[in-house]
Amino acid sequence: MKRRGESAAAAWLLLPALSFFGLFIVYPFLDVIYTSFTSWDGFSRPVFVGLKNYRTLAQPDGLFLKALGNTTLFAVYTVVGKNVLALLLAVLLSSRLRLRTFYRTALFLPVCLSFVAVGVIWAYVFDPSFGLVNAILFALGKAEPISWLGEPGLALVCVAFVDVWKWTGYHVVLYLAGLQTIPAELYEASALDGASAAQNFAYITLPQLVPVVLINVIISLMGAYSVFDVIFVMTRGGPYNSTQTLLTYMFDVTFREYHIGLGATVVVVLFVLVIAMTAIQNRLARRAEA
Amino acid sequence: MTARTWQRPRLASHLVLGFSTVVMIYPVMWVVMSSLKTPRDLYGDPWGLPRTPRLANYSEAWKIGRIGESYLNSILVAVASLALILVVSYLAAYALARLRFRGRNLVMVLFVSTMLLPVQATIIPIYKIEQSLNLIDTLPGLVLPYVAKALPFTVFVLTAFIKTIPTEFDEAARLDGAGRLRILWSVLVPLTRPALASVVILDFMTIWNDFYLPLVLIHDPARRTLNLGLVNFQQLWGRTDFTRLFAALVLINVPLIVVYVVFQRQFINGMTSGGLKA
Repeated sequence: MKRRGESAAAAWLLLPALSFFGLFIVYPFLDVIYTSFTSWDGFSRPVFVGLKNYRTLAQPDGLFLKALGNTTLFAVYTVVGKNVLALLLAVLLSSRLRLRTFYRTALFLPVCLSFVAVGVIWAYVFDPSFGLVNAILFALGKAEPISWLGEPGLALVCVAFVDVWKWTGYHVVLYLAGLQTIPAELYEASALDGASAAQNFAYITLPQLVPVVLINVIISLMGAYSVFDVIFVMTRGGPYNSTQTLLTYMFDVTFREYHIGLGATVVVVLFVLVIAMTAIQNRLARRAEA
Repeated sequence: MTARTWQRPRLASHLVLGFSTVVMIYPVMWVVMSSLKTPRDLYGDPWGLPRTPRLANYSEAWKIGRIGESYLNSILVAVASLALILVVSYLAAYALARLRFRGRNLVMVLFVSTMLLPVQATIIPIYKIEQSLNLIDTLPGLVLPYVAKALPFTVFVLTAFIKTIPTEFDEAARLDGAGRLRILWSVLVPLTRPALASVVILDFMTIWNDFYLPLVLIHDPARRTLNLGLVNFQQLWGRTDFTRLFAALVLINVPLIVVYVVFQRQFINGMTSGGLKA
């Protein structure tokens, strides 16, 4: 009797959440998958075309593969950059240092800025005519101004740098929390053995931190594959598509060229990638615990 | 703390941390300084302090960028979304944490597995839904998807937190004759305040800083949110009107920076609560 009362109450309490969830998450998720099998311009009726969109994406010299390659390169730059820097800064911050809180506050500041603001700021820091980077190079004696965001080879490195700048502080905080869980006795024991700081890091800190590193890597990896804002604001995917990523490509295909079916297909590929990454992370996390 | 036994040269630590701090803060300060310059001053001396601070940049940016309107829109959207998110999520979290019913695990799995879906991914069907409901170019058209997007994470955090509160509190209130909603409101909500603070900050920042949904769903300049307004400002004037663009940027971001510096502990806890719970 009481059980039935609980079920009824639960149904009422969950109803609002599940309605939102169903209408704006589950239904759209299924609809995107269906749309990826159609050809649709947004105005006329969608036509079922089977795997045609998937074949279009797979074309060897197509833009999609280029975008996927760029995104992967962006992921490598940012995941390595954020985690190496954040781990280094977190280890330095974990000691009893003066100004510790000040450093932490400053490092976390960019996390609170919007990506639009961050993109606008850095577009001008990299500006060829009055940007700070060229001004520094000029002061160091290099006369030729460099068009940082205008060179296909450089632009992707620059937007990756900006992404690292924005998120490193976030990962510093996660690593700091992880460092605090390492038992102090381990360091006390190694101090008796006369271990150096480098040995401490390699044999105690890093092995103890494996689960935390995994979380940080997966968060930054997922972020990298869904990057949009910073690129849209700074380069719009250019020059010559050298910073085109999965979601900027999807945006162009959908809202500029009105190949909505093709845009949905890009999203489905992204879904598959995200699900695969989560699965790999779960497996690694379980192994790390064992 | 744990690393106190390390023998590390302090100077090197300060050098690395100090340099990183400069890299993090200087670009922001540079924008603030440049926002007070005349264009000629900016080109002639990008490093220096403004010769005579030009405050007119701010009033002009406020007018050209329609920043007053955008502020109002952003605040309305954020407040309405947060209110809905909190009510809807709390009811669901209470059911998941305190009631026993069939399908509870299924609901939980559903929420957790969609937590990491980027908001951009389902934009096409969301556009279609809003078109059929006549919600394009309206503020509720932004609020509804924001609520849905924030739900999984918010429910997840609140459920975990409610579970840590002993059920004796509920029992005591029930003996006093309180119903479920009464218990939820007067017993659990006060006890879960730290978790509420975390989700409010994270959800607020996500919504406040998002510009993807407005970019796709809002075409009417009078309905622009702050970040969409800034992108528009950049695209229209960004190649010619740097100093006013910087002034707009400062007007849009500095209030938030001040709030962050004042409440930094809560901010840092809130913003990282997703990563720490994962």
